[in-house]
Amino acid sequence: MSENIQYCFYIDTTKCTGCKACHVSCKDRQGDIIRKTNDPKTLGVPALNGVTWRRVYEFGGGTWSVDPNKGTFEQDVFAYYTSIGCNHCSEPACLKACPTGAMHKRREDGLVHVATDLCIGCESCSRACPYDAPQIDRERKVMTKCDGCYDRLADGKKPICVEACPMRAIDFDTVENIKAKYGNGDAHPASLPSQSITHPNLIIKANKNANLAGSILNPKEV
Amino acid sequence: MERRSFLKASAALSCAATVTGCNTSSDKADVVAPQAVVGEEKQTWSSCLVNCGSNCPVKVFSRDGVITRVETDHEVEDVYGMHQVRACARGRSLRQRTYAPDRLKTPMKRIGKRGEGKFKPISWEEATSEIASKMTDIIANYGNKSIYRAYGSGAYYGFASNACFDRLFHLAGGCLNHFGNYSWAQQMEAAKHTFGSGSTSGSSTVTLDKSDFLLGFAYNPSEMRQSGSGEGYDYLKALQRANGLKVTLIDPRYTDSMLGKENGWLAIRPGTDAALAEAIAYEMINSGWVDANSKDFISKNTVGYDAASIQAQKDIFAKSTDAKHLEYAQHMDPTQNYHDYIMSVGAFANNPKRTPEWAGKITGVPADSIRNIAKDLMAAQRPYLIAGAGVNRQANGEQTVRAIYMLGVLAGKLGVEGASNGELPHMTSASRAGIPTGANKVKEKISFFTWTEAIEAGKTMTARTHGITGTDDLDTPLGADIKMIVAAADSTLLNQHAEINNTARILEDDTKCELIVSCDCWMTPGSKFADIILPDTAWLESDDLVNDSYASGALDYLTVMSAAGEPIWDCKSMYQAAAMIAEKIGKGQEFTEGKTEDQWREELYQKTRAVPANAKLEPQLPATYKEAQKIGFFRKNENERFVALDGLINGGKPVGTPSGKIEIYSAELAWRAANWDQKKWKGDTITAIPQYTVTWDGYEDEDTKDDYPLQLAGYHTKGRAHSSYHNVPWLREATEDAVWMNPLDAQKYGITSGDKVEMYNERGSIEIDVRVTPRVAPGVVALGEGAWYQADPQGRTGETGKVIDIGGAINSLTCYRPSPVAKGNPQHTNRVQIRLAQ
Repeated sequence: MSENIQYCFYIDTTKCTGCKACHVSCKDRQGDIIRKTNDPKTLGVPALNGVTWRRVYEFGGGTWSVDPNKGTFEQDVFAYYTSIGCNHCSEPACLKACPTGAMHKRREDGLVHVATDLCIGCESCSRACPYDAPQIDRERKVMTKCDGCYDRLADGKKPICVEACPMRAIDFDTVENIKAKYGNGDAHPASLPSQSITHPNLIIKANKNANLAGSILNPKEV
Repeated sequence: MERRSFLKASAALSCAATVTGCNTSSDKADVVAPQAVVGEEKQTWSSCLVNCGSNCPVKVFSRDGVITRVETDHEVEDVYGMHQVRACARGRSLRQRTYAPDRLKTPMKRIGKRGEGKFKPISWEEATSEIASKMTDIIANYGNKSIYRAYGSGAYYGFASNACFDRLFHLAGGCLNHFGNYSWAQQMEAAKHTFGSGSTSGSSTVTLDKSDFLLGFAYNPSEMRQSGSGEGYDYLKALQRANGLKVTLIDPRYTDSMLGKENGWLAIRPGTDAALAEAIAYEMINSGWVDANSKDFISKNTVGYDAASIQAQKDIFAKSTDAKHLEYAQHMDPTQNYHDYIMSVGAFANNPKRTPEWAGKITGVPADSIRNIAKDLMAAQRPYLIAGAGVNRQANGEQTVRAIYMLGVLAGKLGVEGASNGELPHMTSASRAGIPTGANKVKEKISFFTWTEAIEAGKTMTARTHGITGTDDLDTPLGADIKMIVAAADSTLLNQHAEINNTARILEDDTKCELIVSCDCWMTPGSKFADIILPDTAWLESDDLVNDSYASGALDYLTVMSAAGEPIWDCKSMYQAAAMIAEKIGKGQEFTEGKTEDQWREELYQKTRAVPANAKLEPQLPATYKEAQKIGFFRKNENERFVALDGLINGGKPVGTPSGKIEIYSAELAWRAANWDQKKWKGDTITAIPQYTVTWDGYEDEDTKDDYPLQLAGYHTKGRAHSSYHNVPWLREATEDAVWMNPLDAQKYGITSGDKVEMYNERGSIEIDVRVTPRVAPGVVALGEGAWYQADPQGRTGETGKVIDIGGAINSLTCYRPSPVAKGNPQHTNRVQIRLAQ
C-alpha cells in the first residue's frame, strides 16, 4: 500500500567534506518553486538569501595551548560536517506547532510539506524544529522547506542534493530500502539533537569524532 | 481524501492570488509565485571552465533560450572507475552566475581616470578599431616586446579561448611571453633542479591505497579539488581502500582533507616547513638509520648527500665537452653537502643543530611529534610524501619545497607502488585540440609574476636581475617596457596579483602602460582598470570543445559544449573579438583562414578524434562535431597507477637534471647562486642544497614581527575558484568570507566571531569579519583568496594610510617581491596586524 511509504535520508559523515554542492544545487531547484525566474536576463536569478532548504553544519571543537618556553602547540582539534535538509520526521515538531494546519505530513509518502495558502508566516514551526528545516521566505511572508523533491521522485530520480553530492555522502529512499542498504545507522552525532524529539527519518554513518563535545563553527552559513 | 491533501488541492487554485497579496510590501520585482511554464524544455551540455584542476560537465536545461536549471552528469551508473562526473557547488550555481547583474553587456570605453571605473558604451566596430589602431601605434613605437597578454586562467575553452589573442598577437609580429605560473612557479623550479621534472610527477593519487604512510605538507585535495570526479574524490576513495595507511597532515589549518580521515594533524607556522623537514632529516641521519638503511639507495641515485658525491659529479662535469657542464664544475663545492648541513658539521659547524627542539621553536610542532614523524617515515615500507602547492607560494618557497622533497630521498623507498617523492600526483587527461596560436617571433620571456615591474622597468630587466629568458646573455636587457595588455578571462590584472595598491599605482598611470583591454563576462576589479572592455560570451552560451583539465583525478573526459541559447546582450566570444581586431590590422584572412566558426570547431574536433587514446572514450566519438554535441559527454579511465621515479629507480633511466640523478645538490642552482643577483631583501638567496631560510615577513622576521604579529595564510575557499564565482550570491551565502582566528588570539585581541576588523600591514588594509575557530594555529590568521577588491567608496584609509579594501581581497596585503629562483609569487608570506574596524 502506498500509504505505508516513509522516505528517509542517509548521511555519511565520514565522507562529507562540507563542499555545499547539496546546499547550492537545492537552491537552484528551490528558486523555481518559490520564485518566478522566467526572465532572469533582466531580473537575475533570485538570491533567496536566508532561505536555505539544505544546510551543512560544520561542527567542531578542541582546545589549544602554546608552551611558552618551547613555542610549540598542543591541541586536540576536530571537525566534521552534517548536511541536513528536512528529515520528514515521524513525529514532526513543526506540524504540532503549526496553528493553521498548513504544515502537514503527506500520507502517501510521509513527506512534510507546507500548504502556503494556509501559512500565516508565524514561524512557530521553525522555532519548534530542532533541525532548522522550515525556512521563512520573508519577502513572500510564507514558510518554505525541503519538499523531498517529490517531483523528481515521481520521475524516478533521487532528490537533487543526493544526485549532486560529489563525495556520494547522501542517499534517500524508503526507510526499508535505506536500512537494507546501510543498516540501522549509528547514534546521531553531537552535531544533531536527540532523535527522541521528532523521530527523524535520518540514518547516519557517524564520523569518528561524532561523540566529542563541540559547537557549530559556521553559524552564518546555515 | 486526507484533509491535508484536500487543503493542498484547493490551495493550488488560490495560490497565485494569495501570494500576490503578500507581494505589495516587497521591494523585489521578482517576488511572485512561479507561473505556468511554456515552451519545451531543452537539455544541452556545457562545462565549468575555471582553474580548479577539473572542468566538470554541466547539464543545462532551458526553455526558449532561457536557462531554467543546471544539473550534472548522471549518464552512467555511478560505479567508481567509470563514475559520474559531478560538479561541485560552483558548477551548480552557474545559472546565477550567467545571469549576474554585473554581466558585461556591451563594449565600453573608459571616460574617467584609469581605474575609476567610468565607462561609456561603444559599438564592437569602434572598440575593435580603436584597439587595432592603438596596437599598431604601440608596436611601431615600442616594438612587439611591448605587447603582452595577461595570464588569464578563467575560461579553459578549447576553441574560443584567450589563446585567440595570442594568435592575434603572433600575426601582428609577436608579443612578450611569460614562463611559470601563479600556482606552481617555485615548486616547478624545485622539482626541475631535484628530479628533472615539472612538480607534477608524483605517484598517482589512486596508488595511496598501497601506501602505509601518507605524509602531507599543505596537502589538501578535499578543498582544492572539489569535483565529484577529481583528485579529492580519488583521495577519499583511496583512503577507504587502503589497509593500515597512517595519515599525517601538516598545515596551519585543520583542513577538510582531515575531518577524521587523519591519524594526526600537526599545526605548523606558515613558511617554516623546511625547518620541520630538516629536523626530521636530522633524526633520520643522527640515529644512524640512513647509514644503515638508505645509504645504498642514496649513493646509487643521487648527488649531494655527502662531499664525495659532489666531488665525483664535479669531476664528471669537468671532463665534459658541454660548455654548461664545464661552468657547473667551476661552481660546485663539495663542502656544501647535505649531510654536513643537516648535522651542522664541516662548513656548517656554526649552524645551530637541526634538532627537533630547534625546529619546534620555529614551526610550533612539538619535538616529540617531530621524532614520531621521523619514526613513522623510517618504519614505512611505502611512504607517500607530498608537498601541496601552498608551501611553494612563499618568500623562498623553492627552498621549502626542496627541503620537503629530501625526506622521500632519505627514506629511500622511491620507485615502489604506494610511495611518492613529494611532487603533486601525476594526472592523465583526455587530449583535446586547441586553437592554433602560430609561432611567436619574440623569444624573450619574463616570469609571469614580473609583468607589473616590466611596465615600469622592462627596458632594464635581465636574466641576472629578473630571470628573463631568451636574451643573449645574463646582462642583455629585455629592452622594452610593457605598453599594451590584453587581459582576457583574467583576474591577475589586479585582484589576483600580489600587492593590489602597488598594481593599481602602476596601472593608473596611463603614460606607462598605454592600452589595457579587458575581455571578460563580468565587471571584475581588474576590468575597472581597462581602457576598452569587450564583453565575452558565457560558458553556457558557447559551442566549444573542452577536456577534464589538469588535476581531475584518474577519470578522463571530454565535453562537447552546446549553447543553451543565444548570447545575451551584445556579447561576443574571444574568437570573434580577436578576429575583428585581426581584420582591422589587415590580418583578417590569416586569422580566420577563411573558415567559419563551425568549420574551426569541426577541425579541432577531428584533430581530437584522431588522438589514438581518445578511441577509448565512451561512448565512442561520433563522426562529426554536431553529432558529438548531441551526446555531449565522453569518458574513459586509463587506470594509470603512475609511480614516481620508476624509470630512474627501477629502469636506470636518467632523469632530466644535469647529472641525470636526483640532485640533492643542484649543479644549476650552484651556478645561479654564483651568477644571479640576490639579497634584494631578507631571504632572497639561492643555495645548491635546500636550506631553511629566514625571510622577510616570515615567522622569524625580527623586523616586522612586533608591528605585525600575526602571520596571514591564504587558502582556496570552496566558494570560489580563485576569483572566479565571487560575484555569485548563493556561493557567498554558502561559504562565509571571514578571516579565521584561533580562540587564544581572539581572547588576546578581545575579538569574537562576527566582529568586523581592519586587517592591515604597510601594503594595505582590508575590512573583514572574523570567524573564531579552533581550526587555525595560534599566531596565524587564514583568509580565503580571491574575494574581489573594492576600495571604500568614501575613500576611508586604514592604519597605514592605504585606502581600505572593503571587498576583503587578500592581495591588498600580499607583497610584490619575486622569489629567488623562479621569480615567482610569495603570496602566502604575509605579516599583518588586526584591530576592530573603526
